[in-house]
Amino acid sequence: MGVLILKSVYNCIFFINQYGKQLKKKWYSLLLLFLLPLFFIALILLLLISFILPPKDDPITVAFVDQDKTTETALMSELLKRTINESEHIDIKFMTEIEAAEAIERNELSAYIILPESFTDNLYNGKNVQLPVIGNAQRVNESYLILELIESLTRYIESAQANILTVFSYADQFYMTAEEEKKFVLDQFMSFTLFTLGKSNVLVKETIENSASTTPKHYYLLVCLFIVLTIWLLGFYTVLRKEEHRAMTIRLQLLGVTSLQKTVARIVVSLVCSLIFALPFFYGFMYYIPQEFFMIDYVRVLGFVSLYAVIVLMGLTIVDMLFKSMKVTLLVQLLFVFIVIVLSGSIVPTIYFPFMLQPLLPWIFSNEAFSWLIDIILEERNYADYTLLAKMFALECIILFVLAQMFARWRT
Amino acid sequence: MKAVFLTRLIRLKKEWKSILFWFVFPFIMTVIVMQTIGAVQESTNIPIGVVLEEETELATELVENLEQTSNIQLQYLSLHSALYKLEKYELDSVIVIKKGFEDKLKTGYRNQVIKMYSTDRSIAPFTTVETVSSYVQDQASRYKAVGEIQKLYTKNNVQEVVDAEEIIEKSKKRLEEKDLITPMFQFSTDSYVVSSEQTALLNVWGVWALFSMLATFFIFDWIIKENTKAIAVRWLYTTVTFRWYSLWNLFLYILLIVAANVLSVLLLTIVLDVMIRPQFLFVIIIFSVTISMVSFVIAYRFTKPFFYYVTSILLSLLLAVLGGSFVPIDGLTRRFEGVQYLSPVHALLLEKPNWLWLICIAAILFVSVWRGGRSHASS
Repeated sequence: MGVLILKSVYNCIFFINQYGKQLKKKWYSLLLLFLLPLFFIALILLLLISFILPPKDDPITVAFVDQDKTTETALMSELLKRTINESEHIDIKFMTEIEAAEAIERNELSAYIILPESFTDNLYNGKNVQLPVIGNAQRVNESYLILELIESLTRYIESAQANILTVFSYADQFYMTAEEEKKFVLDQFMSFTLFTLGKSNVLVKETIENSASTTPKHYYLLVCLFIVLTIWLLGFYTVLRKEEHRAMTIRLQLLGVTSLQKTVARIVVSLVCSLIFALPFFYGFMYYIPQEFFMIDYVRVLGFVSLYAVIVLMGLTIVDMLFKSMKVTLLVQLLFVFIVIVLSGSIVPTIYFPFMLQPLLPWIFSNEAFSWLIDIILEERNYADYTLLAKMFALECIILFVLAQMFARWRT
Repeated sequence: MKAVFLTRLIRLKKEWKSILFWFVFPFIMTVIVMQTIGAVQESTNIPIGVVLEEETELATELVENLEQTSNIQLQYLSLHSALYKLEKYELDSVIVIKKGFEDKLKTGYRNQVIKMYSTDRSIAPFTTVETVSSYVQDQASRYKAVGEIQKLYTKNNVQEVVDAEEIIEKSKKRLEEKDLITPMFQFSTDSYVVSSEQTALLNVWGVWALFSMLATFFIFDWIIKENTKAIAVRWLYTTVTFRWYSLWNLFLYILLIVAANVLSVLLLTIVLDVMIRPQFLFVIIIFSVTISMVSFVIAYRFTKPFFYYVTSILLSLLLAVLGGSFVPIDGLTRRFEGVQYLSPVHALLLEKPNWLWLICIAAILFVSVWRGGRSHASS
């Protein structure tokens, strides 16, 4: 028994060496692997930033197309123009439909809104009015932004209109000349429109700082680091893949080599290499931020990062064992890594997760690892608990062992 | 030519399951992704702390309205603990309904009756502000109507005091009964209208483009599998060169892939209930042909399937991201015009045929196969 264990440890070390050599031969792919996740994240960040920050010199332009041409529509669009100009980065113009369509064609307009014929009449009579909003497909975000704005405005108008109609229904009891009635109607319309447009006064807003957001930049840097680490794990694991001829596998088997030993070696090499890539970043980050750390904090970070890494790598191995097709395996592994990242709460914080998912959260290992890293690095928490990650690790060990035994028997 | 197709048929007999799988793969994955995202979007949960400084009728009504708003989850707290939780980022924002809320509203005055705290990491302060102020505005606006009617009474010398509750009931009923104004959204390129509920987080065709690129790349691995050294020897004994063999097969595969893609797009419109213009199918055909040729050119350069697969995945992801499948890229294209030509996906999303990519890739294909063919002959 003792000899057997010694032998398999020896085999593991042998394969670790082999994988190490394999990596050395492929140093160029290592360079690629190092840069790839950084490049992808930079690209996505660039897109996000250009998505969130509209160019300053180029405001969102919206056109009103007034086909009704009544005093009310003129008034309403003028009032809308004023309120919107005040609060948002939006420029409003008045055009005909043909002009607006041409402006969209030239990509000078983000969207236009048509106030259709008999808009006012229908409003006064409580008939349903359709408000066409035409967006520019070359400016998708802006079009949706405008749509959202229009939707919220129509909600306000609807509520105001319900009240205007109620007032009218009471006014019916009293006699009014046509002239008087017209004036009364317009007065009510004006008064409620103005009241509606002043809705921004309802609320006083105050932004406070929360402990992590005193350094939002640091928080997002840590998020990026965490994601990059996860991608590196997948990358190293993938690069170390080795096609082996069946004849070779049988020969190795005769020498007492099991697939489990090779797997262990592959996990160890991927782990060590990813840590070599990632740890300098983590420690550099900790050095750079103002928080003070002790030796024990560095050890804890190392602990959580490596436990997390091992669990991810073992997950990848399990996928490897379950699927036969190379294409499917690669895709499922990619999906696995994607899910691990999403559930970690690094992209969307866990407080926004669906209600059903909340009680499961403490069982999701990536979320556990990520929140511990945040606690230790950003909140200077002086405590660490590895229980859940250790349990997860043990569980995966068992699954891996059982699978390896099963497949070994099937194949022979 | 006949011989080439016959050979292909023999191979297909063995591989039809795998090929069929990759043909339906984009359809299945798009449906799964869109449904998941829809479900997640619906059940997203924004935790908001509520501090009630008064528990009057109107304050309760406001809170009840908020409770019924989807995606918002309220927690009733004292100001102190709410702010503490907000600082620890366990809440997205905190709403304080201030003392005197009801009294102010009843006089038709609604300025600064609510105070809201948020942090710079809060995701939803804008939507929350909108929701809260629209409810308060609703309430205040009804009392304004009561005031107006009272004015009307006084003007006509009616001594009666108006029944505020009755008016409010009537106004509420009117608002509930009818959809008075419905915004109808459409893009200038579309001939159809979508209601706002359909504006999902992700564009269906962006997602579909990613998976269809992946599938096309994967289907084209036959070039690598049939171009191994062991097989290369056999070409010497045939009348067809590998170059012509692969070109004829490219033609065959393009036909199959175009058919599969058109079919999957049509199926998607039914299953996901989206509408397309007939011209869009033409765009899909151009896109499919382009991606098939890209796959062909790339697969031609590889000797090991594994690296081809990895490259395929990376390239598909890159083209999808650069084309704006996940994050819209209009912010970038406005700054740098050239960005829109980087990926064929962008044109697909704009529902325009991408001639530039098609012509370029056809030229590259011509050159590379010609030269590739010669080098085969010499070796």
